[in-house]
Amino acid sequence: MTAKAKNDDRHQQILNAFQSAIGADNVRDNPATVNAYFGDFLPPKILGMSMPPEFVVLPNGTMEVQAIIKICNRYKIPFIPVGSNQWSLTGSPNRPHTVIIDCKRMGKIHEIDEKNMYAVVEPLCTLAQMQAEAYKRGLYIGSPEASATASCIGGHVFQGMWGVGYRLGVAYRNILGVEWVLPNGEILRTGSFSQDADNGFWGEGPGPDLRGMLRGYAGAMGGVGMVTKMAVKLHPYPGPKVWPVEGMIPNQTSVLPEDRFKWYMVKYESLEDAVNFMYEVGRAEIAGVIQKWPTVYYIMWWSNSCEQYWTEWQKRTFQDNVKNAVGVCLWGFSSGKQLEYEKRVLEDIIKETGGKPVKQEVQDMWVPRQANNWIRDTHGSRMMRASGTFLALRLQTDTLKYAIDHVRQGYEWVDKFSPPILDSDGPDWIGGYDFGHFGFGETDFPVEKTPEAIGDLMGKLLEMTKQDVQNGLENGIGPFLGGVYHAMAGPVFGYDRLLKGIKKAIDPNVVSNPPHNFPIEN
Amino acid sequence: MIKELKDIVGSKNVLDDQDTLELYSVDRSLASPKKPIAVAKPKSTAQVQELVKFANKTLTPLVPSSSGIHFYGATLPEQGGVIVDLSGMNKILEIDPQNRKAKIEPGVTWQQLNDALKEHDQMALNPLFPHPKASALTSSIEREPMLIPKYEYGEPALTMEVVLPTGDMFRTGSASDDHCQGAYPEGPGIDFWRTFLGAQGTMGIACWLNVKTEYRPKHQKCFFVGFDDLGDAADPIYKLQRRHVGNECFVLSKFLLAQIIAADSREFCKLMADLPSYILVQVIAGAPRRPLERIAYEEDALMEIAADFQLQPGRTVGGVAGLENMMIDKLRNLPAGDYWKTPSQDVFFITTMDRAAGYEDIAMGYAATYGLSLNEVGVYMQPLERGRACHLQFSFPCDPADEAEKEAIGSLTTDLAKQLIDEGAFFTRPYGTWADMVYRRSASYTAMLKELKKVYDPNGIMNPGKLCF
Repeated sequence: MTAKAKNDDRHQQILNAFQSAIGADNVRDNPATVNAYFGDFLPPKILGMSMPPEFVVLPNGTMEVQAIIKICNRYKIPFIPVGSNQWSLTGSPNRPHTVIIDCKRMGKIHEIDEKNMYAVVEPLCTLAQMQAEAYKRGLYIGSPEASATASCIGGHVFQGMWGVGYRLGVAYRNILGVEWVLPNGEILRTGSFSQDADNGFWGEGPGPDLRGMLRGYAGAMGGVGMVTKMAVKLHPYPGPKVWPVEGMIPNQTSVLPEDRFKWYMVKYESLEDAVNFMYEVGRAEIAGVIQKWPTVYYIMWWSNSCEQYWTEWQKRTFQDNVKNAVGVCLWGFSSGKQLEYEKRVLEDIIKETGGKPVKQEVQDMWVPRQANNWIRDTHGSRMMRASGTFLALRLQTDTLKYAIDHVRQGYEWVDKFSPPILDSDGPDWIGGYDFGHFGFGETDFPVEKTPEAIGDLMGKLLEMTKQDVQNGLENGIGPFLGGVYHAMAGPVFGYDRLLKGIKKAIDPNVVSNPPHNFPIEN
Repeated sequence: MIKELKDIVGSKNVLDDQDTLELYSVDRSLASPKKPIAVAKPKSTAQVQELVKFANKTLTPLVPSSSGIHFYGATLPEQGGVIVDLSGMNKILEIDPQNRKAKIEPGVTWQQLNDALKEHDQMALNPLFPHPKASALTSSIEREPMLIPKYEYGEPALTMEVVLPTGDMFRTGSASDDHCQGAYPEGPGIDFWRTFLGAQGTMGIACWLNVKTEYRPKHQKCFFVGFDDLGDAADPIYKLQRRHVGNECFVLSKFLLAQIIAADSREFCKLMADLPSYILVQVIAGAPRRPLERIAYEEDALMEIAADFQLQPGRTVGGVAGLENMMIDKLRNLPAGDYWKTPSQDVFFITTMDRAAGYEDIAMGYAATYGLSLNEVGVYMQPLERGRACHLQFSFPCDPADEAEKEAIGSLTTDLAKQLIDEGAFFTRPYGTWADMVYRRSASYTAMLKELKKVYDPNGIMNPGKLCF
């Protein structure tokens, strides 16, 4: 905030409007505060993130959010809604006069319907908060690798490929009723909220399902307004009422009851064999989680510091033991007998597919400290261990078989862009979902966190994405770039007219985090 | 116009004789007849695109119709126009056992799909004994409830090819990328696919759909539990679902179960005398591996839960001989031949199981004022998504040849729907007169849908007069 801007009549006028709407204590324009909202886990000035916001506002409730958004429309100034701000490429201002709508005063769990297994939450309610309440009731909610400290709503409108989604559905299917303030300031209630604002038990309809506007492959990036209330699914859970922990962070371990949970770590000669195993497990309709993690994940999650990461890297404990390994967690939802049945089936499959157990000492390192965090992920920030950040080059969701082809293409690009990509040992992450109906492939790797290195890599990544789009290849990393990507991909995949039309209809003044998720300007 | 239509789909595939138009002017609902100008039968996506472009040029309403078996008035042309009869697009384009999906055109019937999947040890996720000639694609995109609540992924629809109301072709999810196999619904862009579901053909014409398929069990047991009151079934089902027990799980009133299994009217009368008021049908099925072991542990769980509620699940109910095998055969092979259900008018909605008995009281109260008892009303409760919610349906028999009865049942179902909506029943698929009742209560949703419709269909040519359009 420059002195000139601060003294500007217009600034004062807007400040006064915000203060009148939500109270002077809840509007900030002082440099110390606004500078704290400058940048995210990438260095500043990547993807055009280059300036602090003009205001940070902290509304409490839907009506206050609506008032703020109406003010933004009146003055035609952009706003960005942020949740936990845990992980974002598009949550920092990229144009002047931006207003950050921070939901720090909106963290309530409005309702938990234990019988019908859903909860109604506000934007700051974290997945960890929701998990703790769910466990007490014998219920479960997943969390993506970005960590359970992320906003529950954010986790559902973003990508949301959480591990137990294999059995319980990934995030897009876990959204029930939604209340959200559109960019034009109108309140939209979807699903059963549309008929009764106090009853969010069902997500779709009436008629065509407007939840479709709220997400895409990587969420709406704040481009369709701000969700103020969401009903989310909870699921049956056979685990303890309180998440079991021993020791202190960062060396904390979690051991789940043996009569209901059992991890297997199985390694294969090739990626094809590993994926074939994943298919067989899905067909058998067993297990709660199935993941083929890249070696870098094991080391990132295991290490407590950057130094330890590279020491472990040189020891090669993980590279030599978990290449092409698959982690499977069996859940005894029904009973201990279910777990015993699933063990027998899984052991049959391992034998038939030629799987070998990962060395016990490596399993002992991984399972209590890390693998269980795929059930209640609290270690997402460890992704940053090696270099202070990480990036992904390729990321696609389709069949498990296609995931192999996709990550293989990823290896080529990783080699091509290395450096600044650091050593990563063929960083292929493949997850199975919906009992193997679909799979997810991603190449993740550490990269030096300097503006030069990241800037260079992001430029290359954009160039790769352009090439992909021109070849009709829908690299799922693209949607994470928001409007930049949709401007390229919309015409190729035939959705630009619809996307622009919807954006114009709901955001005539283009105030909702432009240019995301829709590539139009006013 | 007829000449231009013939130029697009071929002269044999355009019908405009009065008999045909009369046929397409009605369905099995009580909606008033609405006659189209013509019926066009395309054979490909390209022909559908040409039809839609022609309709935009001439501002002719288009009404997609997939199979000719329609129950809710969705294919009756409210504002005239051309019926796009897709029954000739009836190919199963792919069965993919590895990824457990099938790619189907709109004219593929449930019987056709089920028969084809059997050869691959797969089965479709179908609603309650669908009409064998009904379109599997339409059932899926109209969100008819499936019978197996154990799959949290309650949406069998994956990806689709749609001709938009402007004539542009659009593929949803990973089907938008020719390198992929169409297994993932999200994107490209936002989740457009959701806006085509439950749309009654107002947002575009689906030309093919990838749907999930599942393993067709070779070993299974079917258990039945009788209840005097619907409300008594809710808590045991909550428990069963919470423990991930079983495959198909649903509750029928005796009037519906008798229709499904009776071979003739004499047997029907005997069943009505012998069956309890409500019957829970719970199938426990083996998986591809160690099937009997899975059945064993799930059966143990079923019996534990039943004991908690002092229930005794049996392999039959009401002393009906061979009921278990009969039910399993119908579930796995679908009833062929004549449709099993007495012509009736249905009222259905989504609610939670703990509220179902209250809605049943309301429905039976209305039925009583029209002189109907539980012996003459079908009640169907379908738990969804592990029992998180349920589809609740009341079916009132109605002779399509009896005008007085049609009028009475029409009044009953309309009045009942109003009352149920007032009491919080959520009509997620608002057909016919329900649409106005539902959309009046959801101003912001309705306004947004209308905006969306303008974007998708600037000339308002796709099935105008339906939903809130």
